[in-house]
Formats: sequence, C-alpha cells, structure tokens
Amino acid sequence: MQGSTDEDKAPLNEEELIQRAQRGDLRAYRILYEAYVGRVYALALRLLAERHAAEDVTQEVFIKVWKDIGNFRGDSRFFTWLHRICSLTTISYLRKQRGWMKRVLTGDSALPELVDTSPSQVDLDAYVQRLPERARIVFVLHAIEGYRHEDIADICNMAVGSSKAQFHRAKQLLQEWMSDD
Amino acid sequence: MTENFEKSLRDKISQLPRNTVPDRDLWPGIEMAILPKKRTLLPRLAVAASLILAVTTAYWVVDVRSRYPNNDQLIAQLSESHRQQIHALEVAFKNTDSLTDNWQQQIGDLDRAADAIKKALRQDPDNTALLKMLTRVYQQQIDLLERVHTPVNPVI
Repeated sequence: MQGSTDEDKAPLNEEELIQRAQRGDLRAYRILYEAYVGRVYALALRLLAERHAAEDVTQEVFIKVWKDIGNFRGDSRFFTWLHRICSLTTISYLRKQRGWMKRVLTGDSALPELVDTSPSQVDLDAYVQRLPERARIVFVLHAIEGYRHEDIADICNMAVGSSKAQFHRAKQLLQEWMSDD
Repeated sequence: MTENFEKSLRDKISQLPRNTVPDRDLWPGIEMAILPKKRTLLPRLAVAASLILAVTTAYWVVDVRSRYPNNDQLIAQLSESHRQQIHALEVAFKNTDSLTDNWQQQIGDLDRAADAIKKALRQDPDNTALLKMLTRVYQQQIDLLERVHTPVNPVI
C-alpha cells in the first residue's frame, strides 16, 4: 500500500486488519503476523519438538493463511481459524518427513532430543517434548490446546479411541518421568 | 493415575507460556514467498530457458549426425550449449535465495554423470541412447536449478 493517511496511522483492530489483508494489504498482514507468530510457533514447537522444523512450519502456515485469507468469513475467531491451519500444517509436515511410517509402525519408540527450555517452562514442556510423536501430538492438542478427541481424530486421521489411548499413554509416561525426578 | 498428579498436571498446563518467540526472523521468508513479483518473473525466465533447451535438444537428437559427423565435435557443441544455458539461469537466479543448501552438490553429481556418459559416447559414437541420456542429465540440471530457486507455493 502506498502513501500515508490518517486512517493508516490510527491503530487498527483485528477485524480491520483482516479486511485489509483480504484486499492484499501486506502491511496489515504483517501486523497480524506479529500478533500471532509467537502463538503459532509455540504450537508448532510443542507438536514437532524441533526448533528448525517449527520455524519452517510457522512460515508455511503464514504463507497458507495469506493465500487463503479471502475465504475467512469471520464465522469463528481469526485465531481459531489460524490455529486449525497450524495444526493441520504441522501434522501434514510430520507425515511428509522421512520415517513417519516407520515411527508409526514401530509404535513411536524413539525419543526426540530435548529442546532447550527456559527455567519457567522446563518442567512440563521438556517432558512433553520427550513424549513419543503421536502421544505428544494428542497431549498437546487435547490437554494444552483444548481440542476434543473427535477433532484430533479428524486432524490426525486416526480413530477417536486411538486418540484417547494416546492421551492416556502420554499421561502415564509423564507421571512416570515426573515422579522419577 | 492419582488425583494429585492430575491436579498437578492441570496446574502445570495452565502455567505454560502460550507465546514463544522464534530464534530468527521468519517474516522475510514469508514475504519472499507471497510477493507477486517474486513469483512471476523468475519462473518465466526458467521456463523460457527450459523450452530453449528442450527445442535445441530435440533438434540435435534428430539431425545431429548429419551436422556433426565428428563425435568429439558433437559432444563439445552439446556441452557448450548446455554450459551457456546453465550460466544464463545462474545469472537469472543470482539474487534469489535457494530453497535447499546442497543444490550445488547435486549439480556436481549430475556433472559427474554427464562426464561418464560423454566418456562412454566417445567409445560408442553411434549409440543414440547415450546421446539421449546425456541430454536428459543436462535437462535434470536445468530442472534442479529452477526447482531450488522457485518460491514454495503450498496448498492447504
């Protein structure tokens, strides 16, 4: 967008920013990006347990959202819509990674490396990152992000019972590890 | 699962930070992928280069023997033309970030494959299959250069 008007200088609310972004205003979209990048990255990092992958997915999410923002009708909150795109993109990213099928078939036995964490989040986040992949995804989406098992089953293409079983497994592992320390 | 653990887990979850700042600035990569001017000009150049190579290659494969009875001369001409195409693409993509870090290594691998085919062609000058193989390797190099310099265009 060229030039500067009084409207440009006034603080914009989210709805206005979305409308501008829908008209192709990259500056408005960047403000939305700045507002939500931390939340998108936090979710991607918890699901992936790997910083570089989380950065890649965060970029992919905001590229997708820009391309698809014209379809956002405001039926839900913008962040709810963005959050779902982030979850779907992250799961899709995991599926594309080499070894996805192997990890699934062998029951997720490998533990990911721990990501450095700040002292304030060292407890739970560090343990969550150690969870096997599917258990981690279900735990993050259900316990931390508030998704229903039915929604997780839909996003991850698994049975509702599997989602519940993975959640139970995640809690068992967390209890075991946290009681050991 | 004890009640104490469930409560402790709920407390810890409620204290988790909902925001985490990435270590690097992710916006430039996003901007590069969504800006229209970055998405249109370079692929057009790449497509033009590919078309030129494809047409040139087809012409050579059909008519090459009559034009270059000497096999070494033929290989030299083919290689020189390809070198010029690669150079033109490298110039076009000079200021464009690549999507992968190891594309030069892949180009090098294809170079070595081309060298092996050229060596075989010198020993078997009438082998049209080898000639086609050489042009395919050259086309792979062109395709690789295009792919690694074209912004991603994902679909939800």
